Amino acid sequence: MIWLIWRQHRGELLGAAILLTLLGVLLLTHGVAMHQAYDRDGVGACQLLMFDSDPNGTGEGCPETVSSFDDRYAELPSQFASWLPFLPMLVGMLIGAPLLAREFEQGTWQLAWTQGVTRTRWLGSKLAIVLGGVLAVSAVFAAGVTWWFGPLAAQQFTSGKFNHAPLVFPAYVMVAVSIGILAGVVVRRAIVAAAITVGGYLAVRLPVEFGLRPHYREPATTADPAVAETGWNIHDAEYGVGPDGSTIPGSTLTFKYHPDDRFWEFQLIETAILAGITLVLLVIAWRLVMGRRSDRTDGNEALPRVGAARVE
Amino acid sequence: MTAAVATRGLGKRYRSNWALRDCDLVLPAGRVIALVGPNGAGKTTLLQLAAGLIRPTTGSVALFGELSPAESAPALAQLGYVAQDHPLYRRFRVRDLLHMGRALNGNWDQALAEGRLADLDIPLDKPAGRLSGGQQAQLALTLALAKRPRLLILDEPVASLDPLARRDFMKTLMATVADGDLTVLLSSHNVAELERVCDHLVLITGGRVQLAGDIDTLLDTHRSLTGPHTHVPDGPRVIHVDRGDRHAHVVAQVGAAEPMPGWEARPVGLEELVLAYLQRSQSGADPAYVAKELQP
Repeated sequence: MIWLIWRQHRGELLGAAILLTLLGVLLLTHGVAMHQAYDRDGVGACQLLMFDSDPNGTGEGCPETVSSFDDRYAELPSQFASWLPFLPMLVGMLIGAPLLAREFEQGTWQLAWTQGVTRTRWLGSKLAIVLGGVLAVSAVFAAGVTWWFGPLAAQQFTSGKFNHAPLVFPAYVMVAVSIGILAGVVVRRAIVAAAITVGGYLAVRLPVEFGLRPHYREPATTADPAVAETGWNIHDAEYGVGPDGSTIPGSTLTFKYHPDDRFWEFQLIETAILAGITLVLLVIAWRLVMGRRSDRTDGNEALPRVGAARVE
Repeated sequence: MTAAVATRGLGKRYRSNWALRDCDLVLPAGRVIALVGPNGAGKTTLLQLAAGLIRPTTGSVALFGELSPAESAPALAQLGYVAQDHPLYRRFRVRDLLHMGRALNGNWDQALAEGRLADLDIPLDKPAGRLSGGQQAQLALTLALAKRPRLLILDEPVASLDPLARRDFMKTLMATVADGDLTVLLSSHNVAELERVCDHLVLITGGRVQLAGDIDTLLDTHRSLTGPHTHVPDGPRVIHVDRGDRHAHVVAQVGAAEPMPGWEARPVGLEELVLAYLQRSQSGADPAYVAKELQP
């Protein structure tokens, strides 16, 4: 089985190697230069001081240091940060969607399933090796991006850093690949499955990132906007509210934020949610490939279906 | 008699359509069995059920007395399957497909595979997708045979081939069957194509088995009768009646020894017999005829 899977997916393996090589080149050129400038010019200390609400504490020349660092280095990583969220979707379309759909599309499932290995072993090995490979490559990729994005901000809790941390990023890749696999099993056409992967991925990503993520914990509050900026400022400032729901006159503005030390806790929560979705999708795909329970000879056919719509 | 394939109450439903219903068959080992029927009759469904590729909605299927090969590696080892349009991994070179066969099958016979491909002038270094249709069919057959199966199932093996490739394919298939005790089950919508090579027949229409049995027995127990159209016989043994202006032409289940006064009886041909049962099934008649010694 391992040989067959390697032979079928060596193209994808080559693609992954090229992707990691390109990232490596970026890190060695732009990334190394950025890190050197960051250490040499004391950018980190300045980024921290910028949050300080006390104007006397602001280091001499710090705004200039940070802005010239940003001008010089921030452009490229920021662009990557804006399109990298689509990379998991692309992986889902290119690896997940055709994984089983192509077998059905070209009829080769019949060739594969009449060799001397059982369907359980065929599907188990295929999923384990391909998903394991995708997971490993995406984790390495995310680790590289995390190192690269490090100097861009003093706090960890930026969307660029959060989305590409080595937990959440691979988890999004796995969700996208699983959506592609399940869609491929259901529609049995690689192109259609790839299109469904786009919709499915966005249907998971957008609600999780923008709907759920700010609510994993009750945000901390502060009256000082600079403190909110040391973590993830969720831009939900409001005035004090009385028991009747009306704004208390003369009250101060309260800022809501998630402190920076919640980063890994939030990572774990989001990863667990995504892993759960992945698992459900894969179990459904597994059961569909193995043959639905209703297809089996279990005597259910003899039972009348009273008042229940049949679920296909 | 050992049954290569035995089905009991076998049925498969896709949504609300029954592709196959109430199928009770015993297919003897060591024979070449023709599965015949019009397109959409349920032939592929029956073959896929036999190979364990799909799960039955009702009933069961057994190969050589054991369970379906769906989840059993020993049962899979006994089975060679060439699906319709002989699917192959098109980007694999021929050599890679042999490597796959060797990696996935315990009984793999590499020498047999390479020998057959050499005889057929199929280059090992060419991607399977660039071979001609006839070569792809031969390669798919080679992959199935190199497993050293006891049962070889071929779904419409020559339907997509040109006449020359068709003839070559059947020739090599029969040469293989001649030596050894391989059971072959092959389907076609063309009876004439199978008549010369098969010794057992299963006719299926509308998802139901209409006729099953040893071909010689079937031909011996049916007659083609011609007689006056005014006194056409009736009854379950009359398979089909074709009324002309003055004569009626009847295909009936009548032994050679049975006297048929007033009727001119002659042996029936296989095509004529199949056609009679096909026409009968279209008129909605129910009971299937199963040659006696094969009733389960």
